Amino acid sequence: MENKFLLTNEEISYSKAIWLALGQLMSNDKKVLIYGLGVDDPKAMYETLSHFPSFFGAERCFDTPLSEDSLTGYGIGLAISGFKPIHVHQRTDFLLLCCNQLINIAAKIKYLSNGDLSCPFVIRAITGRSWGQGSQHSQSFHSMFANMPGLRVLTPSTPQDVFNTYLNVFKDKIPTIIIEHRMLYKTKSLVKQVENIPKMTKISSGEDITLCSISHMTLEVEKVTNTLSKKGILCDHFSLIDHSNLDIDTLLKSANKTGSLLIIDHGWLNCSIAHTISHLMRQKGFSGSIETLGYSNCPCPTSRILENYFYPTATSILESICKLLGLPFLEFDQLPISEELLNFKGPF
Amino acid sequence: MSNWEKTLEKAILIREFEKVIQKLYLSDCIQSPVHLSIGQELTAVLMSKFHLKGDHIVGNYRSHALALSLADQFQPLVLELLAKRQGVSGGKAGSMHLSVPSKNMMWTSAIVGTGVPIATGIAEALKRESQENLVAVMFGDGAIEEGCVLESLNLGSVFKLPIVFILEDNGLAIHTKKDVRSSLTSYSDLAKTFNIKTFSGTFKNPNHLYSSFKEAYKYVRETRLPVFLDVKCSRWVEHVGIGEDWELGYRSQSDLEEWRSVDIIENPEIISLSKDFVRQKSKYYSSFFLSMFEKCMKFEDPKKIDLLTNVT
Repeated sequence: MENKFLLTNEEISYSKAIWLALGQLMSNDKKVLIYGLGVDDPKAMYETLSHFPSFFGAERCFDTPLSEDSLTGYGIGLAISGFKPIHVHQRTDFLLLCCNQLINIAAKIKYLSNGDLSCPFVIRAITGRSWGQGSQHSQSFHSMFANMPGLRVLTPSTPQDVFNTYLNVFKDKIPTIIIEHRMLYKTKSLVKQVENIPKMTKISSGEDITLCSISHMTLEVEKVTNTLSKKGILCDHFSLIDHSNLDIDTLLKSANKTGSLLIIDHGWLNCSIAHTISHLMRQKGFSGSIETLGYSNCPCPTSRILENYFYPTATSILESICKLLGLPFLEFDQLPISEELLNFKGPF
Repeated sequence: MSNWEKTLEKAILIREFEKVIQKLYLSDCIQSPVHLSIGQELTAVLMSKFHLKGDHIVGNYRSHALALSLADQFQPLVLELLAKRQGVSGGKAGSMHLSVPSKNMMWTSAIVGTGVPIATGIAEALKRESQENLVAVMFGDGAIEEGCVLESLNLGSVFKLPIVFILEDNGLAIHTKKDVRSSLTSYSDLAKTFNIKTFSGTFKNPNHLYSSFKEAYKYVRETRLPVFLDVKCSRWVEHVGIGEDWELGYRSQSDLEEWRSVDIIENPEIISLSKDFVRQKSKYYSSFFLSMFEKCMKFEDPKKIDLLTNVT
């Protein structure tokens, strides 16, 4: 493997973490292919694929027609033939065009072949937000896809998690949807390599409340927990990665310790992973308080003013925590809109 | 044995298999939909005829003929139709998803046209790893109206894939005739617009059909480029199920007569073979498959433990 893809002791961004992990995968296994509209263009998918065509050959990182539906079947065909394809979508919304192949075929091909076939096929999908992404460039379908047996859905939110997610993704030969979030790419942290895809990662520790966040909500929750810690309120904060193999026992242990759980989803709440977690916690005997936050029950508006009401925010998360802890909300200042949202000026 | 003898024998084998299903189906031993290939056997037989070791085949829910034409062992297929534990897919797939893994017929999909994109991916793998092998994918004329098939024709051409797109054109999508469904006047012209080499044939001229298959496969092996093969044929029985359905009135029984008059099983003299040959083989395979089904019915059913195995 080339040295340029090795981890160092420096903090790296979320996008650099993807670049490193995919670079390692491509270096170590010639069966790994990356394809999708624009993967070899100058923007290189938010720099996560910078120079890949020149590093690995244009035949291993290649542009395609727009045909998302058929290109999903094409990936399945490659995967059952011994390749490890990665199909990249610049927006998660376009996965709806791929549902037939993903749900009717990828998710079932191992079962219906009685185990003869496996489908090591990875779908990279990027969820947008802000600066007019609007109703069709902002959706995250993790709950919908996690409903399907035979598919695996992952939402890594930190540089370390996204690095280890990609580095280990082909160890299990499972069709896998990895949902990245546009607003996470510049997040920086140190990264430590592990041998498996983490199911959930602990962001901070505390005794007062348990928080479980998904995708970009992890950043929003971090802003809240930092504020709270200055006032002596410490949170057990987990960021969910694997939606298809929920680590309920870890959440249960934490919630039994703190007495309350707040789940902050990055999606609509009806039939959601947040409500599934809530149900499983009750089923396993948790009797404390549970609250859930998610998208407002409407399409995502283009207007920034309305968009700020649509998503859970640091302020609304803080308000929910106060409610669960029986604290007066007005005691705290309103939290500002997150910088990555304020600073984002598009165009994409 | 001549080429046509082997081909005719395989067509007879398939027809007798399907006729055994017709005899047994009402006993409820096959508890799933069946899409019989009676009258359309020759497409599958010719696909197997030009199938070489290392080639792949992708079919659809009308999967019996393809699977039978490729298989060396028929019992795993019969067991699968009966949803038995020793079936080729452990009873989890059934009639609409038969496979012959030893011959690289890995999967058949029950969603119209959706096997065609899968075939393009397999062809991409073969493009990268083989000098001569190809994928043959068969789909009906209804599938042409699915976007994924049109997308796949484009992928085949743009990516230069070694793939034989085989259109089995029986003029019907369940009960809906072509003129209601499509404004296309020529499926081959459609393929040509994607810059794909085309071949055509009809069951009404078996010798020409045979040559078209031969030339189409040869072209792909030599050029490593896709071809489109338009095959005209007729479905003799209902879309799904075992019976005739003339009483529904969506087509006329008289339409069938011209296809029966050129059917190589009913009229083997067209290919210089005898009715005696047909009678002898038909009798043999009828008895052979009836015995096999009766024997397989006694096999073990799947167990509860099988339900959650091989999900991921």
